[in-house]
Amino acid sequence: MGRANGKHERRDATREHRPAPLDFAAEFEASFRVFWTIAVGIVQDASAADDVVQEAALLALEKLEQFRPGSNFRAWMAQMVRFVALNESRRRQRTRTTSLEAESEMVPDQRSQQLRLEGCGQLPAEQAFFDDRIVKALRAVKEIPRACLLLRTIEGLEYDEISELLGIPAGTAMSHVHRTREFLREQLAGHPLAARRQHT
Amino acid sequence: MNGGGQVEPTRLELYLDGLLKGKDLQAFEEELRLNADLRAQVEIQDRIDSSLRRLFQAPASAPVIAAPRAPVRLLPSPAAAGRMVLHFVRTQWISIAAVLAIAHGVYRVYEFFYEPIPNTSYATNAWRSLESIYYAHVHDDVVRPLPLPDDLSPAFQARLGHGLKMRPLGPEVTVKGLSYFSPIARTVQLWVQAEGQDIMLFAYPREEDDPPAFAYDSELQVFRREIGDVVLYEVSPKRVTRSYLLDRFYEPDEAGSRPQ
Repeated sequence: MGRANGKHERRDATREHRPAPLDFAAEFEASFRVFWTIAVGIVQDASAADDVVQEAALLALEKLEQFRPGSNFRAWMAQMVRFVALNESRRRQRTRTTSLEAESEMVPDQRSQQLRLEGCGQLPAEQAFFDDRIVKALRAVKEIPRACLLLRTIEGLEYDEISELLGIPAGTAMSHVHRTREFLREQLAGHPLAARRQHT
Repeated sequence: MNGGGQVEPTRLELYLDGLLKGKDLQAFEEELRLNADLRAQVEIQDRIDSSLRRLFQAPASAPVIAAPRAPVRLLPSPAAAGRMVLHFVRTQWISIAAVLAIAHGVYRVYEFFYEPIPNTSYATNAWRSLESIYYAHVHDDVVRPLPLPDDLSPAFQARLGHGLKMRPLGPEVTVKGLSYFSPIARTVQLWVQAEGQDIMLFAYPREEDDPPAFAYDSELQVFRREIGDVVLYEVSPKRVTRSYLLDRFYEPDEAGSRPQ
């Protein structure tokens, strides 16, 4: 009997501390940018990142019972985002051959124009081309290191926080950021924009 | 790119992370002032960071996330149905009671239709011949006979539309009772005992008369009589020496015309 009562008590305690949907919305809103950055770091596509975060939120609502009271909601939710985003990334990789073939047929001006229209607003062609090179270079980086870099650069998170969100050691998160930065610098060193900066 | 393992961060990375402090920071800034290559690295990184912030800018607000409403289903999904069955099975007492009730019901149906009446080859309700109805009364408790009224005429009138009358039975006959077998069937059945044997009388309207077919090895005999629009069958075991009931019935207008 004692065992059965204990079980019921635990269940009641979980129910009491489970975040209500309204609290969930507030917590989600507060950390939305971080979730979105993780998603875009993994899938590397803004509209896909929107979908990923939305899907992860719905998944989290379904699994709200599994949220352990007192634990870190942001880390728990980030785990969902990571899970959904990695699935989406793998799905996209399978269908990527076609889009890469189509893209390789574009001349550089067309690609710059496309990037400018998609995300950068009215930018000088040179800047758009620079951005294009960054996007292309980032494709060679694995999902988690890419997410580490974006969380550090865009959100300014500490390595401890990145570690918690992505489920990796803080030292590994730091290594990922440093290596990715170095890689990007190497890839863009010969770019006219970077070269001009070097000489000014 | 980005193999596993951690590496010792360079001073440049520490500087970019804002982790250089005090004298280390001063020394690095001095080197930065003198070393054009190093300065170029920092500038490229600034440029890259600025592009990253622009390229991967999060939307201004979060999408509206509401708790999903439960989908309206006329039937549960297969998974939900499975869970319901499992939940039901896990409540063991309900399961046991349900299984027993189902088993009992199946047995009763089987018994009613297929289990032969002891010492005969007839099932209770398998074939509603006079023979099977006889055995249903005699060997089974399916039919509870009603008390025999003083005047049978109203019963005949109500059931058959013909008010036959019955003279009192002799002392050698013991009345078991009346049976209609079914509340809607147009029949009257009288159950008596004589010579230690069960005897049954069946009365039908003439238009529904169907000559009875008995099994070739039947131990029963049948006597038949027509009175007006009514047909009477008296069924008894073959060892019963004569008919005890047929001659007791008469038309109402014959009252007193026949010997008692």
